[in-house]
Amino acid sequence: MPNPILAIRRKASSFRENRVKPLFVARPRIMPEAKTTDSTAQKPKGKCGLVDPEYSLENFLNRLRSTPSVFASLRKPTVKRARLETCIDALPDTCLEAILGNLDQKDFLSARLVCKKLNTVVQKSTLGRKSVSRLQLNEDSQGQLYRFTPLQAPHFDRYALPPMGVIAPMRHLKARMITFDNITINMGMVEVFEQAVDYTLDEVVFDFCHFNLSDFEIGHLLRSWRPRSVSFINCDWRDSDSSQTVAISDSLFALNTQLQSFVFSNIGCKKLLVSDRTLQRFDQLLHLPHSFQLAGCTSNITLSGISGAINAYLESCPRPNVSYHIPASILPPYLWEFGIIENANLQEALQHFAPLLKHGYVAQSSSSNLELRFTSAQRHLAPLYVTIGFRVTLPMAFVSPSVDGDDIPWDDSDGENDTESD
Amino acid sequence: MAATTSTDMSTLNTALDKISNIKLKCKDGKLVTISKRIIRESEVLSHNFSVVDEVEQTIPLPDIHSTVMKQIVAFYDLIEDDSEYVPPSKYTDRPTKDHPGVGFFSNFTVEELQALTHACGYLDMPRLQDFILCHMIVDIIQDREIKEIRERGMMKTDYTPEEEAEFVKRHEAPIEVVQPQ
Repeated sequence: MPNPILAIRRKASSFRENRVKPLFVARPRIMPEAKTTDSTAQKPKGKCGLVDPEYSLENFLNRLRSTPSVFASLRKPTVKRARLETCIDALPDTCLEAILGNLDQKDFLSARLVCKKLNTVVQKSTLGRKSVSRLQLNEDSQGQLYRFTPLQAPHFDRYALPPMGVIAPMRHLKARMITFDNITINMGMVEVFEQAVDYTLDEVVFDFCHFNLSDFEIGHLLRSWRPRSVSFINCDWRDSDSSQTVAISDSLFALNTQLQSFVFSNIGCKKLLVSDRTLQRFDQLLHLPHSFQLAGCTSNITLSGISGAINAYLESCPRPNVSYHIPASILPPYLWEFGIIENANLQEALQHFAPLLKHGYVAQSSSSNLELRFTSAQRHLAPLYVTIGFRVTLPMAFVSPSVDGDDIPWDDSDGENDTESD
Repeated sequence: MAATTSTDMSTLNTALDKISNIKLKCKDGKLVTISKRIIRESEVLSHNFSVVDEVEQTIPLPDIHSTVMKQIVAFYDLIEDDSEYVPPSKYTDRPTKDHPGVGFFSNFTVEELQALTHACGYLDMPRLQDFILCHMIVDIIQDREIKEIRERGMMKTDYTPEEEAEFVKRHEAPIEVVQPQ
């Protein structure tokens, strides 16, 4: 019985021998003399006159194919396109950032999706920022944040992000106004926001936010954004000394002198730590705040502080960008609302403001509310509306006539302190 | 423009007026004729002309090969703009796709591009640098689909299909875009 393995080997060797021979076998070159002698000996009657099959066209082409170096050298030289990935890998990130800075914003998304290297460069840089007018951040009950623009509401971002996860997506947006809605703002969140929003904002709105910060920390947070307008609407302060005290003090205004509008509105009557020092600073400011509204709250502001602020308005210069073609009376007015002034009533207030009322008039008053209007047409200043609230309710004492306010109910039963507006 | 001060500029202009045909003797010993515009664009060459009183017709340039120099000459022949080069500060200022210089370098090999980059770095030619690096890459990316960018730029993606789908899904929601002021 023959060994089966040996039989297989024998078969394989015979297969190898019978295999088609390689197309090109290196042979010694035939010398011209030898060639002539051979050709004379075996000259066929062919057209080309070549005897050796080695010189046939087929053999020649086979030789070309079997020797890649020869084939490559004879091939038409093709232009090798620039392998950009090597260029991009070699370029430093700063250089790539400068190059990508020439791209339109809409192209950043496709550039980021090309490869991870470009994505990293675009993400680290501040290039790929879409300018949005309004942006809103909401927090859900699980402490995750949602990002959307109000125009998309209610179809907002389906991705709930953990607070630290907000930083990267937020760095691709540049908003003019940001609304923080129902967010617990503590120091950890402040760090997140400062990293995510590292540019200046026009307007910041805190809507139903829960603050866990001191007055200095809020002031510093706003200072990093340098907004012109800040609103606190129905916010609460969790770790303040008293639940009714709000950690907004003079330091916020001292740190943010650029503020043109400050609005604090609350359903419950809370106490702000704002005092007359903020109002005293009005005459040092380049521009008076166009809106200073403390609604539904009390503060340490007194009547003398308010009269100082009104004096600052009366002595102020008009804004340089005011168009003199527009009458001063229809310019957007300064709206100053000082909340509820404690330890004062309407009668005291009217007596206190009597010297100032030669420039203005009492537009409306009730037992708990006094509205003063000042105009300064000859100096082309926008009108000033001052609203002061009182805790002590007294019977209405003074109501002065209004010159142009026909629609405003007023009573001219007692017009001692009334002055006509100019 | 290359020359920084007005005195340098005037010296350069007077020096350039004297000579008609400027030749550079390159690394391989060959002479390449260049236009006056290339001299104005190059910080190094214009400084050389503004400092030296008597300029020779042939300037030795031992660090640049003649083929590279010929490519630079071909590039400047293609560009008609003769005004002072101001690097674009915004994406809107950059040359459009129709600009002849934008696609000029797109078919060059890596070796050629490297040699060109070294040469324009040596000669200090900001216009050339921008066209080699900046505008070429921007032209590859701008207004194109992602597949097209990868093909044109010969770049390979290192995203997994899942990652790519996640990325697209995350950014598919359009956001109101404000036109830049």
